[in-house]
Amino acid sequence: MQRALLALAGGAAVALLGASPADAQIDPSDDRYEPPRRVGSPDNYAVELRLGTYSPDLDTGAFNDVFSGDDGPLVGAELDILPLRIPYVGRFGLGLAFGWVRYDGDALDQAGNPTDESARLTLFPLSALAVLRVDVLNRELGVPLVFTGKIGADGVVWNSETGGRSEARNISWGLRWAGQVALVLDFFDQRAARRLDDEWGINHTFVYFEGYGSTASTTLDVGTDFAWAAGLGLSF
Amino acid sequence: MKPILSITVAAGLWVATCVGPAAETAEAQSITIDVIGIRLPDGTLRDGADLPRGTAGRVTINAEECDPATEIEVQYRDFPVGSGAMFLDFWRGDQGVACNDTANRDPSIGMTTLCEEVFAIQGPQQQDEIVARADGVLGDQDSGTRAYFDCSEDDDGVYEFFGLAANNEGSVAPVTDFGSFILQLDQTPREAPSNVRGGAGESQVTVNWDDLGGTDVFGYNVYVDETVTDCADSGFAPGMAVPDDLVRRANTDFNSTSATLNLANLGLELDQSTAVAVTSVDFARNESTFSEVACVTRIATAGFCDLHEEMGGECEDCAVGGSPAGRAGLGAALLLAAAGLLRRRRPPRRDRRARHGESVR
Repeated sequence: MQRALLALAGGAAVALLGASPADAQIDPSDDRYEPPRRVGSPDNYAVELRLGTYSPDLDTGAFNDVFSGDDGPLVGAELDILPLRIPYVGRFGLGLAFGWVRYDGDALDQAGNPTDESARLTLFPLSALAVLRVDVLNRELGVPLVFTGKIGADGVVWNSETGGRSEARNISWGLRWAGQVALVLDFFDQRAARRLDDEWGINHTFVYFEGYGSTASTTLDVGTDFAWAAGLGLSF
Repeated sequence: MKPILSITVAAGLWVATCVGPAAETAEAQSITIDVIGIRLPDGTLRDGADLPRGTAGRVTINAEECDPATEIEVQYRDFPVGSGAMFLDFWRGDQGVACNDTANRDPSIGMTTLCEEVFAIQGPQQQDEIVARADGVLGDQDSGTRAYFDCSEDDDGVYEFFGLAANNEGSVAPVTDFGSFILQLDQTPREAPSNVRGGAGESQVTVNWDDLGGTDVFGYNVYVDETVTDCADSGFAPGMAVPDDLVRRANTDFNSTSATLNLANLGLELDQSTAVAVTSVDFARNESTFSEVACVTRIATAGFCDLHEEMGGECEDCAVGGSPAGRAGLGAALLLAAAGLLRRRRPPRRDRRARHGESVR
């Protein structure tokens, strides 16, 4: 009887005081203390805007004769859908890219001299790429660098005009490859970066430099051995 | 005798933009006087909305308008009916001279007067009373009517007219109610542009010229002699006035010093040529005479694809329906739509951490 009463009193005391072994807090100064790790939002997509050069590797001298070595610039955008995470490597998925570049020059007379009539070549590269974004350095080690490799199909829509009238137009197909290095900008202001994620779901913003090439040449040799672009991107 | 400006005044309660600045030494203006338009010999009215050109608040009349015009029509409102004023007495001075100031009208004050009385009309007894019309204002010397301006080039200038509520015509007594408007006569065109260059092409050619400079350039007109197929046979000549029946082939604003002509539309075959000339237009819409004449020639040309194929390359034209540019636009649209669909707004950080089992402070 006495034991039962003591047990009841102890239980009541525990209930009143709210003490529980499960509720015991570890002092932050304790060596065992680990701060709660921030869990960011899912990071499955990325958008890039770019500006760079593009010079078709045509096998005749016509491009240089008419456009005097004009090399763009090319403006473009890309959307990456990266549903697969490879642990300790990065994310893998599909990229869809679009670009635009225009070259202006003068039509030539029969003697090969420039006339006052305009000549124009416009390219619209469209690409579907497999994308591997290696973000392990940024994610695990806090080094704000991300490396990306891309390869896939490239369709370049082209249109040649002379004197304001279309001369010929078509689409050339080939293979596109690209390698990218990006600098993640979170380190400038970590708090702002977290707020951007919390409110808009934007995990990271970055600036990048990308080198790429294309073999698109089925109807006109509008591929390029090497071109470069730089731009701004964000992942979300 | 110097021609006297006559103004036809239309009564009524039309609301129009107030034209004319306040004189620097003037009291607050109470009568609003606006220029409605210019009456032409056939009775039509060139709308005053088309007349203010260049400088805001100023009505400008050019050579084409001045000579045939019979009168300027103005309207006024807020005449001080019941004040005892019987006339709306119009005085003219140079711009900036306040003719409402007695000192500028009364010859007994100072050696000369800066303002000149030009015309008076009897003021209305009611606000909506129709005022009797007066004689012509501009030109029409042949009709024998009085006119202030004979539209010679020495009439060019900026004039400020004051309408004073007065007890009699030519009164030099102080006035309290008046209005004003500014009228500019600009009958002198700018010079023609120089260094006009033509060119050669198969479909189109761009004509270039040098910028005239200065502030009084509204734009340029380009004319083509479509009656010849050899430039040397053209009747165009520098300094020639633009023929009335000649249609301009292109026009540009003052920012541009080039125009592109479609050679097929000009009726030229290959190896044929014709003459082009350029004129300038000022803000009063006075047009200059022809510039120096340049030639444009239609010749066979080779664009990029022509040249590429001549050199052994391939430039295969599209055989599939639909514009490649349209496909590119579709691709861009799909890209943007996908980005829009995938964007989502995150829940507040507190809720998200709670869902992941972290403590929420």
